[in-house]
Amino acid sequence: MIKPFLSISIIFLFASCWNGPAVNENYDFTTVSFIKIIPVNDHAYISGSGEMVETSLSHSFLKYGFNVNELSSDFPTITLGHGGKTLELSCIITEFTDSEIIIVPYRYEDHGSTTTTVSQSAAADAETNNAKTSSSTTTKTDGGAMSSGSKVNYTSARVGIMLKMIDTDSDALVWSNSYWYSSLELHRAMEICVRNGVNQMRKLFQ
Amino acid sequence: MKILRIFILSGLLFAGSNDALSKASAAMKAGMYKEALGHISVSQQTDMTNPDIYRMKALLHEALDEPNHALIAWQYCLKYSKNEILSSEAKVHIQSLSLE
Repeated sequence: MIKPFLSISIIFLFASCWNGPAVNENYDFTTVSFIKIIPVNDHAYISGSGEMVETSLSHSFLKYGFNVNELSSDFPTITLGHGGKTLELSCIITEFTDSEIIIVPYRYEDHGSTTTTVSQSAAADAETNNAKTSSSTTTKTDGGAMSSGSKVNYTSARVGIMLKMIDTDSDALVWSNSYWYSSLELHRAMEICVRNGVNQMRKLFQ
Repeated sequence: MKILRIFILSGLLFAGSNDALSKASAAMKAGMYKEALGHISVSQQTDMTNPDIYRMKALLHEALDEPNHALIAWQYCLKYSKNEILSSEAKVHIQSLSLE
């Protein structure tokens, strides 16, 4: 009973701490008919990263149920209502790290060990016709160490983007926010990073 | 023979959890995420409050499409983290996984 309550509290706590987007309060998003996705430039270190992010943007919009048109003569366009206004969505890749080495320091407790050796022997006694048995027990205790430290490493990927939407009529910046995400795999980091952005944008048009 | 058996048994019982994390790291590098998680569980028995191990665990759960387990691991990571960058990463992941 306490666990779900604790989880919900933590979620609400961080939802309130989450960096929200910058939004032009005076702009009426219900009048937007189209969002044009401007081609995304590659990150300085990885060629092709721009196209990957751009494709991921279209994919995420489609996944959230938007109508996406990809005409060869024009930029990918998301069709919304009938208000007539057009927004241009541009994206800047701020980070595109394929394999960042993460060092994990850790400590371990050597609890030691106890080894017990039992030796048994049996010998026949000629005088009494009885067998004699003897046994001895030796116990060795290794106290171990209280704590020791070491470190291991692994690699993780990290993607960061900055999204902004500009009204084509007035050239006014109406919305912007930045996102980043890390994962063991680059494609997953990119996909979730873009998806989080699109998820926040779609709330403007609901 | 008996002595040998006892030695083998003690070896198995007290096999270091210290190298469990090394095995986890090696398994992660090889893309064997499920195996890596198993080794991490062993290593956590002696280092229950290490936020970096919770991070590793959370990333593995995410890679294995186990968002609920990942969310719990990130929450523990945040709980034990004293590093601002790591805490910030945990918050980003908690927020994202809560949306799913």
